[in-house]
Amino acid sequence: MFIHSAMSSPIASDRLQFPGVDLIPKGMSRRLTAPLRSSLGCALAALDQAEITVPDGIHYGTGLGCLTDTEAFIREIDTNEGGLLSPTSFMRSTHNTVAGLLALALKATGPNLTYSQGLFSLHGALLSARLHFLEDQQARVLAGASDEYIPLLDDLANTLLPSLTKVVRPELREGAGFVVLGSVQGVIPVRITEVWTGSADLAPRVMHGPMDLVILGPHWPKGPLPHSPAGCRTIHQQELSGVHQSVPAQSLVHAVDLIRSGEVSSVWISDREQDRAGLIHVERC
Amino acid sequence: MGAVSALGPGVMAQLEGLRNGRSGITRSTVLGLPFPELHFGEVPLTQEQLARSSGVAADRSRTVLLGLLAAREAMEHVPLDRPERCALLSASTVGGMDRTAQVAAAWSKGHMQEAALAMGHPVGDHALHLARALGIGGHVSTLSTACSSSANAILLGASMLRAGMVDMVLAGGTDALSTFTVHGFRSLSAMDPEPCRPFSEDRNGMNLGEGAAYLVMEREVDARTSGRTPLALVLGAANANDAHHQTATSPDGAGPYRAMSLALEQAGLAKEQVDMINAHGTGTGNNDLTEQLAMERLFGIPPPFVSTKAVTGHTLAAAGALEAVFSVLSIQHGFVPANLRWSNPISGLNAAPCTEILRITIDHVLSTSFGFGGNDTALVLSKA
Repeated sequence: MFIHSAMSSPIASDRLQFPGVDLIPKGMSRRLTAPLRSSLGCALAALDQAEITVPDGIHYGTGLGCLTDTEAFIREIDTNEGGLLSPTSFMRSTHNTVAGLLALALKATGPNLTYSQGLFSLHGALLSARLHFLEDQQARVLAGASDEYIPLLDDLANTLLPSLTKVVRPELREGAGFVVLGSVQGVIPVRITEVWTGSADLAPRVMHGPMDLVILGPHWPKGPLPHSPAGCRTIHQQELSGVHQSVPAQSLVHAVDLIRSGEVSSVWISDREQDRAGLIHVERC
Repeated sequence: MGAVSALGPGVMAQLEGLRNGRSGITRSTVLGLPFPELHFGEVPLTQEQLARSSGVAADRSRTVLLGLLAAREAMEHVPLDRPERCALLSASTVGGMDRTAQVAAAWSKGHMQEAALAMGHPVGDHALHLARALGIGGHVSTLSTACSSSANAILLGASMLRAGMVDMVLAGGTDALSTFTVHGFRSLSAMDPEPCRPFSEDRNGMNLGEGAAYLVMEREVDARTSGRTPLALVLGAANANDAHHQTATSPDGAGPYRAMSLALEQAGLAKEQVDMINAHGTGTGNNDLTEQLAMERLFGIPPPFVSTKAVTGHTLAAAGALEAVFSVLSIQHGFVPANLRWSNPISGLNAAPCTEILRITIDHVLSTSFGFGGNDTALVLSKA
């Protein structure tokens, strides 16, 4: 799969500066929460960069879905005493809200699939894109992931992981990353050659070939990836993106930027969560 | 195959219910859901009974418990020779929401005593439980495309097998009833307080249900080489987007029409070869009108069609897989289930669903699932 464009959205504190703000249809934009606007803007900016009006498919991932609307609806339930609630938050609480709104904004009638598997949600979306190309080699598709931050996440982390938060204090954030993919090379000389998830103990067997840089996601200890070859650099993406479940999407965009700049040629993006691992290999072509 | 629904636990309970025109729609007696005037397709097992059957602690989300019950049944007689070559493609819309709502409500009052329950909130959490319990070591993913989710899991499973990415797939979905979804669909005025009447002119909305269903999929040649006779074949599967509205289908049913047409095209079937449609048929004004419009546009006079949501309620992410199980049962046992409580055709349309159990030979079933976000999926399930 060849990458035709890549776009990452800023983190929470920069919400007003997110890319693609002008690309969201005005009528739609004013009805959305800030993180939804951020995700949509990021996706539309990636399409704009690739000069695509309507993608042939939308393959999207999110670990926790539209948390702002979900929390808003739960609060409405909690404070309501049997009356009819406003459906707005409920309608936008589904995990496929971003992908559905993109289809609506772009009149995109092709396959539209949303995956939710923690840190590996992006991996599901990328595998889905790969399958799309097996059915339609001419297709150009949008793939990416986004996740939202709400203050409840910090309170949960402080309550459930008090020892961890005292020592490491991961910064819980939000973010998005989207790429436009095709089965033939575009302007950018970068391709994805591997997308894999499985038992963590099998991951080292999948990581073979050149390795200039490893981008590690949340849950990896400080330091380089064990058994990485000499000269291979390591980046801990959470130091740049904060912690959220779409960090791999921001790692992917980061990898594309570094390859385009000529700094590296072969990047592995390695994520793990409990006993599972996910890998994405990106290389210059 | 494995399934649990308002008809009870197990595929045999589904078959018995469908063959006898039995409905599982009742007022909430197990979960004590809000709005006692409403009817639901509640699984007739308490949390403790489900936990005992599933072999896990009762404080787990009901979504996990239902999923484990159905997934275990599906995998019961299937040898898992190479776990790393087996994928789990599951589906859910609300995951552990039945537990999360308690955390959020307490949090808003400044309490965090129930915080641990939130660990089960992520929609994909149930899939990890299932994969561990069943020893599945390959790709694990959860589709969350609202009410078409598990139909998309089957679609994706067929694609992965065709591409040679895996040798076996456990595909399906699970969703438990929760106060969140009850309030949500009530806020949309989409719920009929009485047992629902899909495709009937006097329909007045849906009944929410809960359940889980999973199907083991492998390439036909691999199954036959290993001496296993497939229960059915997935000949076609297509997903399309209506791109019209976040929660309503376009007036002409363009998305459903496109999904059904593409699935038939992939299956290489002429429309005359379809023996039965297991329709989405939620019982809402918008869905049933636009779905039947799309069916009549595609088929002229559609083959016998039925919405089994009058039997189980709308099981959301589980619906596509549950209705795929029903479709396979129809193929195996040669019958079209009855579309319960239908009284009159939808104004301006001609066709009527199958209101009595119809005993015919069934080679090909078209099963449809449509969801929020304009997400439309159609599967063609055929005799092996």
